Amino acid sequence: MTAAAGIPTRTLRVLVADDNADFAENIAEILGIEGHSVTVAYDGEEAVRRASAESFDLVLLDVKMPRKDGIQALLEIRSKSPATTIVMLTAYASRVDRVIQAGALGVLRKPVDLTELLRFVQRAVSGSGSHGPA
Amino acid sequence: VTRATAGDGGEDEDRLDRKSDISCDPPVEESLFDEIKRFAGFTDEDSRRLLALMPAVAPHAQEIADKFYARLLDHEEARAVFTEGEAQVRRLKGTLADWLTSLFRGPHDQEYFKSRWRIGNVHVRIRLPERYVFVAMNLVRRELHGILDESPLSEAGRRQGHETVDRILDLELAIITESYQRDYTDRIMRQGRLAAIGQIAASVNHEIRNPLGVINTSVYAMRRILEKAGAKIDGIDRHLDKIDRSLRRSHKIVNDLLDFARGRSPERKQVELKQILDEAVQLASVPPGIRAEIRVEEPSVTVFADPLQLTNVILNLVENACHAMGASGDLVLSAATAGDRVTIDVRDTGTGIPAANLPLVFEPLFTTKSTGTGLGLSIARNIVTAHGGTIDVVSSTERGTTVRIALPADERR
Repeated sequence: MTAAAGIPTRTLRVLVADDNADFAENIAEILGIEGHSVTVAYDGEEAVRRASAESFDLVLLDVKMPRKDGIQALLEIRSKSPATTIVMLTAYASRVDRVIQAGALGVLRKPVDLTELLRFVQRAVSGSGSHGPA
Repeated sequence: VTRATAGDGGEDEDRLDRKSDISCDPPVEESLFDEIKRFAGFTDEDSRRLLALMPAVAPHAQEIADKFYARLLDHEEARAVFTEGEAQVRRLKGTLADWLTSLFRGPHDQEYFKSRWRIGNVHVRIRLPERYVFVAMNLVRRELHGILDESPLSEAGRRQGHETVDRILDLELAIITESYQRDYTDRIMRQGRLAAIGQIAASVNHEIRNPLGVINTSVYAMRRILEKAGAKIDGIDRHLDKIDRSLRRSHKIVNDLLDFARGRSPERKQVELKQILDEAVQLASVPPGIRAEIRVEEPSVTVFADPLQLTNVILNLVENACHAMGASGDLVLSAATAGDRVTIDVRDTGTGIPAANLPLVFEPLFTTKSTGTGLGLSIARNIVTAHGGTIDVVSSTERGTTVRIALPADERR
């Protein structure tokens, strides 16, 4: 597997929320290598708090998280910052439609295809984040 | 050469053949038959009496068969079992007449028991409800007693004849009901296994995907870190490649388990079989020592099927074939149209499947591989059956294995 995204045209502020700490930190590190500034949250509540405290260009939210699930977090973040691009992460194909309806730009199925993830980042960088299924 | 079969597709001569080839051996033969005989009170004397009565009964065999099937066909639910129409009923009448004659001819030995066991299995396989067997057998009983009543026997001879006929028919019934019982137990066990797999699949999906996600992202990050540092360390890439391959394999196992548990309905469209076979061979990473050949009839063979599911089936078969061949051998994938069916054969020159394992190969969790889940062929069978097809395995330890899938031809062409 090789990096597909290349050098970003601008640095994004990214929030990654996943209760699997190793996974969340790995995603943060990979996006960091690509030159973005990444914050990590480990549950839904923390994700909403972080998103309220500062503004992010891109939020990656796991659907199944403790204290507040990803869909609830998505709804709350969207109500406060409608312009934020949100991409959901899930191992459950059955939840894809639900999260798109809730207003996510797209859904990444776990195991996450990193090329696909970096494509979402590129879309966020170029500001072409129209809402629709991945 | 031995065979296993699964699925629920069309009938052909070949299929009639192989009906008798699987799961027909009676369990613990000696003791079961002897036990039933002892319980029915059936002795060698009964065998001798039956043989003596045969000339009186044989001329009426066809007439009894006619009455027997008239009774069954008169009943709507029973009639529904005979899906192939008059030809099937005519054939079955002939079989019943032969059965009646052999009832009297004997010898009532182990071979007799085996042939009776096979007949019992046919009842189970065509899904004739067990309740009809008793009524039908009583009809035979009444007819045979009627023949004895009309025969020029002494009163004592007639009484003994009646007793013997009752005993042999009790024996027959016991064997048939044992077949039903065996089938019922097998199905209950299978359902239990399937439910367990479903529960395991749901839990494995979440619990295994998470650590796999960490490994996957770590490998990716390591490659990027090395790339950015311009570092070239001998052997690192090779090991990262190995981790990637193992990851793909692990994901496949998790996906197989989920597919099996979910049993998704096919999303069908017109599919070129050549493309499916090509893709499966590419995905399988066939070892360089194995010659893989794809033969598809010109101009093309298409089916109306779910391309992802069908590719998964062929991929599983190709991987099994490669596993059976090891480093070298010949793998031939072929597709052809045969009447209203399309057949896909996956043939290898591998080690073959021992006859004892053949009836088990489609059972979930059955595997002889040290790294297998035992789900590949079960999934294949489920998918093929959901497409209205059949899947058969013909194997010998000398010549290797051929798996044949028969699917309904694409009528939309």
